[in-house]
Amino acid sequence: MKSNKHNGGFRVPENYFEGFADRIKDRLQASGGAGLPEETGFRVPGGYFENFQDRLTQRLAGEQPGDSRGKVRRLWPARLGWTAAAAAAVILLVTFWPASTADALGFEDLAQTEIQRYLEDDGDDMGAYELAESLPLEEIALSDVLESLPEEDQILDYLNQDSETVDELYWNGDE
Amino acid sequence: MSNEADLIARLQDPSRKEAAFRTLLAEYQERLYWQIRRMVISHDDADDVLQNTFIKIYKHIGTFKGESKLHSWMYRIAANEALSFMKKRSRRLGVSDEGLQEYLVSNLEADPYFDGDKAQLQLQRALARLPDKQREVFNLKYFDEMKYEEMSELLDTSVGALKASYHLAVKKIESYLKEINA
Repeated sequence: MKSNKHNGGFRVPENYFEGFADRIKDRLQASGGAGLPEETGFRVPGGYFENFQDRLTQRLAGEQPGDSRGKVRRLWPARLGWTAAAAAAVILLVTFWPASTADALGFEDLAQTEIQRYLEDDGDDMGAYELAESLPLEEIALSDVLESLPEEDQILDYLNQDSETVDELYWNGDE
Repeated sequence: MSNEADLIARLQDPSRKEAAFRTLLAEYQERLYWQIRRMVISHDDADDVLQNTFIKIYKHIGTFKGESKLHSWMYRIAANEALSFMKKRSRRLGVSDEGLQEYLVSNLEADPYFDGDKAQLQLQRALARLPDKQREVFNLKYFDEMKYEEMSELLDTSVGALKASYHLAVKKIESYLKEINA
């Protein structure tokens, strides 16, 4: 078996991990009293999968522009439409041109609450505890949590400075 | 050219897209349905999410670059659709994500499309108490018997983290079942 420096010299029996999932499954089934079910118990209505394709095709046809919708009749003649569009464009340009160049919105203009809402709504739902729970220790290196690794001297200084604090942890006040 | 590569090529060719999409549906609809169903619990919700998933697939298949397997790409769309569906539902009901799962499972006994026995109901109750990620990993491993390597590509998570999640999920289910059967 390939040795790994993180294993600290420990070894596991041959093919230990290959059968691991099955062993857990067996143990889980044994713990469920009558045995853990192999199936979920969910059912579908009769003919559901046979008809799904047709139902989806109908829905897709409804969403395709021009496929099944009736012909759209113009409310305004084409020339009048262009005139109205040009007039609207001129009004918008005159109204908003100076403001849009002077006050372009940037990331810093986002309200704090908007950012928080985005993170709450769209961020990963895993909390710090769950995240720590789900990450195996062997995948985390000290460099992942520290920006720069401390020098050996700094570690020794720290241990010497804080030795009294450590003693407090081991000795009760009444001793 | 492999079967999958050929299917993708046909899906991305406008003249052959319709026929290829029917092949895609026939091949994947059931697999994706059960993966969605285990996330959203009720059949009607699973049907909605499955339809939305395939509509997204149809509209965006042109952007599929083939950097992952087709099923992985479709599964991620399905999982995102299911999760956002559940989030909208929990907001509408004013409950947490965990609260929604427990609410859905509590309705299972009256669900006409659930005929599970006591053990199956207990397992669903135990699953409802797990965090989303652990439940997802458990479902893929236990019910789909998916290999960790395949799951790793599907969920974009390392094999080590998946094993840890599955192990934790099993421990929690085991302890819940012991507690209620004591």
